[in-house]
Amino acid sequence: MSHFEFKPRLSPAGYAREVLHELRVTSFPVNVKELIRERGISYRESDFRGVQAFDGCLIRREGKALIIVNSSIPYAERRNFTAAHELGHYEIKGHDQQEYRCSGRDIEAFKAQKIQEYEANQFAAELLMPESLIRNRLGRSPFNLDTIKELSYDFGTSLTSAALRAVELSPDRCAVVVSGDGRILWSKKSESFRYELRSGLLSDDTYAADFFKGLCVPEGPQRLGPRGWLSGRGIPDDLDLIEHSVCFSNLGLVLTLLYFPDTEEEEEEETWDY
Amino acid sequence: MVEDDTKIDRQVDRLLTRYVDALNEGGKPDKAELIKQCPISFREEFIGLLEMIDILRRNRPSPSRLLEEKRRLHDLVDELAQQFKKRGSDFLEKKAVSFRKKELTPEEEKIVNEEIEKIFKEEFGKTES
Repeated sequence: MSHFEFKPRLSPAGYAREVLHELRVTSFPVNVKELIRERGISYRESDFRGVQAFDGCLIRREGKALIIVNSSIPYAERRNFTAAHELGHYEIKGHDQQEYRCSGRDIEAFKAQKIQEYEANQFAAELLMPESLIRNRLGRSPFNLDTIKELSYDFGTSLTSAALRAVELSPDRCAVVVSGDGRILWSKKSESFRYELRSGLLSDDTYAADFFKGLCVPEGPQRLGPRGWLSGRGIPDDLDLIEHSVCFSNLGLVLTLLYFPDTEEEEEEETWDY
Repeated sequence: MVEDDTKIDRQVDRLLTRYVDALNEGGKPDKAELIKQCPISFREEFIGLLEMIDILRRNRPSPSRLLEEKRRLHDLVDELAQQFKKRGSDFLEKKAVSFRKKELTPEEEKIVNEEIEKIFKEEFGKTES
C-alpha cells in the first residue's frame, strides 16, 4: 500500500515560518540569498541591460530552479524583498507555474488583484519580518518613526516595508500613507484605526502637501486636526492626530505615519464609558 | 442710475411679496393692479415672475410626496456615497500595485527574455527549452 502524506495548504506566512524553522534561522536580518541556495535554488543578479520595469523572476525547468533579481534595483533592501518574494513562489503550494516574472507592480502588490503575487508578498513579509518578533517589538515600543527605523535596520528591509508591517501588526491606532505628485497614492491603516483615510489630492491641511509645494516639511512629528487626513462621519473636530512625514526627494514621494497621541488615555476613557 | 435700478428692484420685490403673501393667505390678489403698479421698464419681466409663481404653486407637491422625495434623495445620496467609496478603494488598489513601475515594452521584454535564457544556460548548461 502506497503511503500518501496529506499536507494541508498553509497560509503564505505559514510557508515562510516553515522555511525559517527548517533552516533554523534565528538571527535577523535574514540572508535571503543564502536561504535560496540552501533550498537548492540557484541565485543570480543581472542588470537586464538597464531594464527597470522588471524586478525578478523564478524559473523552473527540468527539475532545476533559478531566481534572478534585477541588480539595478537601487536599494539592497528592495532586492532582498524581491528575492524573498521569488522564493515565496517556489515554496507556496499551488504556485505551480514554470516561470514567475515579477515587476515592481507585483512586488508592491500588498493589495493585489493577482492573488499569487499577493501571497508571495505575504511570504516575503513573514520571512523577513516574522509576525511574532514584530508584535513583540511593537508591544514594547510605540508606533512612531524611531520604531519603524529600528525595525527597518534590524530586519534589513526598506522603511516603507517596515512601516507597512508595523501598521499591519500594531495594536495602536496608526496608518501609513504614501503620496506622490501631490496625491495620496496608497494607504494602509491598523485594525484598530476606525476612521476613513482620505484619498486623492492631498489636503492643504497636511504637512505632506507642503513638500509638493516646495515648502519645508518639519522633521519631527506634528500634531494637527483630523480633517487633513481623515474623511467621513463621526470624526470629532477636537480630535488630535500626529503626522510624521518623511520626504524622499530623489523619488518624489512622501511617506507619512499617522497616529494618535495619548492612545492609552483615550482607550481607557472608552473602556469606562458605559 | 444705479440708485434708480435699486429703487425699481425694491419696488418689484415689494409687489412680488404682496402677491405671494396674498396667495399664502388664501386670497386672490389683483394681478392687473399689481402689474399697473410695476415700473413700465420692468413690467414684462414682472409678468413672467408672476407666472412662474403661479406655476410653482400649481405644482407644489403634497407633504407626503415631499417626504417620499426626501427619502428617495437620501437613498440616492447613500448609493452615490457607496459608489464613490468603492471607486476610491479601487483607485487605491490600482495605485498600490502600480505607483512605482511602468509596464515592460516589447523591446524590454525581449531583453529580459534573452537575459533569462543566457543566465539559465550559464547556470545549468544547454537545456531543451
